Amino acid sequence: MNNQGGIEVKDLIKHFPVTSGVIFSRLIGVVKAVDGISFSIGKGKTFGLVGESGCGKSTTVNLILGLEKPTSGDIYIDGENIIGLKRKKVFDLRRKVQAVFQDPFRSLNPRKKIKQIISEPLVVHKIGTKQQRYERVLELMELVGLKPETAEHYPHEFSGGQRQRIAFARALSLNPEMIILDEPVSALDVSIQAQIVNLLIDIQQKLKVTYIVISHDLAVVEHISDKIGVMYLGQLVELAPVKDLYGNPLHPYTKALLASVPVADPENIKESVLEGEVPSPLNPPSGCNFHPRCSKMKPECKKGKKILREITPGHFSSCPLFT
Amino acid sequence: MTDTINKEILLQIQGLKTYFFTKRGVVKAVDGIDLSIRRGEIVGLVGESGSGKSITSLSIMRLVPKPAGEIVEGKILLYNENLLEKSAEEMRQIRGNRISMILQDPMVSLNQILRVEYQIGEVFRFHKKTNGSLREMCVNVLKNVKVPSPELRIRDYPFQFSGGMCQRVVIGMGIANSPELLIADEPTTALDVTIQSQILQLMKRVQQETGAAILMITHDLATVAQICSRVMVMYAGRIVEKAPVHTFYKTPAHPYSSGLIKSVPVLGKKTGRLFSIEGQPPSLLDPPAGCRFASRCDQAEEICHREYPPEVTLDENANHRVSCWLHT
Repeated sequence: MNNQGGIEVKDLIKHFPVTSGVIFSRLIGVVKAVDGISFSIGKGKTFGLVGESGCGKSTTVNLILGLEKPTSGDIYIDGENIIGLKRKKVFDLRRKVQAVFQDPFRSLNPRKKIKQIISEPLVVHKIGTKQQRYERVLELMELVGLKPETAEHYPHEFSGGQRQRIAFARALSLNPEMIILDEPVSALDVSIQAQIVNLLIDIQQKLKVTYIVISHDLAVVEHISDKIGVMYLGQLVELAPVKDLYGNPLHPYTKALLASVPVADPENIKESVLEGEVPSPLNPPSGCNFHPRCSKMKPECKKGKKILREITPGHFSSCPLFT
Repeated sequence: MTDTINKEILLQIQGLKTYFFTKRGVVKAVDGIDLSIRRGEIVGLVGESGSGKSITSLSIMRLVPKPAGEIVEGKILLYNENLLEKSAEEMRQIRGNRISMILQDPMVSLNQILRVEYQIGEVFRFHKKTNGSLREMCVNVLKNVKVPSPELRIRDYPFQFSGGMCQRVVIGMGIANSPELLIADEPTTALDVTIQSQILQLMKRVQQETGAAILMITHDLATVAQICSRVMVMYAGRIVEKAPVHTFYKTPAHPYSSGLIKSVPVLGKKTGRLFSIEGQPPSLLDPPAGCRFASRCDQAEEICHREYPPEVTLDENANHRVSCWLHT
């Protein structure tokens, strides 16, 4: 694997057992949260992962962060397989991979000052002296557009957008190769959303950091991603460079998703195209997972496991109707 | 637009001021707003968090958190009755009956440990509108909002429903007594895109069938464009622009409105950097004397910082009004 600074995920599977009964617990089923996904992205690029809630986006991210152990599969970061690493190694890995979460009101400790929050990763990894760390904090605050004189303030004195900047500065403190952004702007107001999206783009150009962005907002993902994976019930149903995915979606689910995004234009009223809801992952449909909601369903869609196939160069879809 | 102009005015707010008295001073959350809603129209009230849009809706319901919050001035007229002069008991008869409200997170607005049937039934029991079997009425509520197999689902608890289904139940409860006004505070924000569009369609259908007016409170310009006929933009406690929806998206008059519209990422048009309005909204503890947007506005002149602009009518027929010195 010579994927310098990038990430490669291969056949990643995470199944959660579901048990019933308190004393004599028995297995009643398996939730296939992530069911064999593969993708890769190069250094300094952005991979966007989109899908409805419950499709397995967050589990995928937890696996990459090493917060969950996969049932099987491999994840290569910077050419190194991170599955089955010793604890000491996992600790080193965290210097390379950092995360920013959705809700900036819950991800910052309200009892710590901003300088403590931003320098915490440096303290944990025993980097620099106190003075050096403080200088690094000021440098980071400037980088993300916060006034350095607010370093002594507490999180409650900041608005949502500014808090997200603080969380972002913290993630950058260790000079990571990769940052995982879990719904980075969905808790923010429109005018602030645009500021943060621009900040993400600027930082990536400056520091050449790799992003994995998870979001259900397809327009935001389009703006920051180079490559996008669409997930449905634990599987990738389409994987393509951003232009191809939005310009020429191949999977009916992707088409339906794109068609149902409300647009800020009263001349363009959307009809909801997708009826029903995501089926339970405890008991997923046979064949193509999406067939019960698909408008183009054919009998062959109900049988056999559907895997991603390359339809045009770089553009993968799992829809069986493309040959 | 002419047909909506002639419709009777259902709700009128005049000079409403809702303040919060805190240790650090008076927070002027809603600072003198005027608005009107006609019968059977869907109006959007757009603004960022902290702009006072939710406090406006709570003021209409007379549910401003006490003791800190207080409506200090103004009138809220439902037809000719001033809601601010009603007794607590009279207000209870109005809530959930003539005016009802849908909140953002359906998982929070339903009680997780009571059956859905009981919670829907409460709407009828409280307003003593039980004619015939209560169960049948509850099943009808679920049927109206298209919950599949309502006879069975009625025995379920809210945690057995998905987010979208819960929101359907909440909407069903909101319209159960055929209210004249339905206030929806961010009804789709907590939901997935595909479910969002289903819920918006449901609300549109509900409006057509029951003839209720809907006040849609949201920060999402797409939601407004999809279902509202008129838009009001709120910024730092004041309404800065009121316009019919088509005019608003084509020719927004206030610099804040046009900035908001420009900063929405458009699907299928990747442009790299997005347009963004720099800076933050002012503190409502000590709002500036002039236009509240002046510090973030790139067209601000000296007078903008000194004096608050009066409301100017740009188009009488379309009812397009703006508070901005650029238009005086």
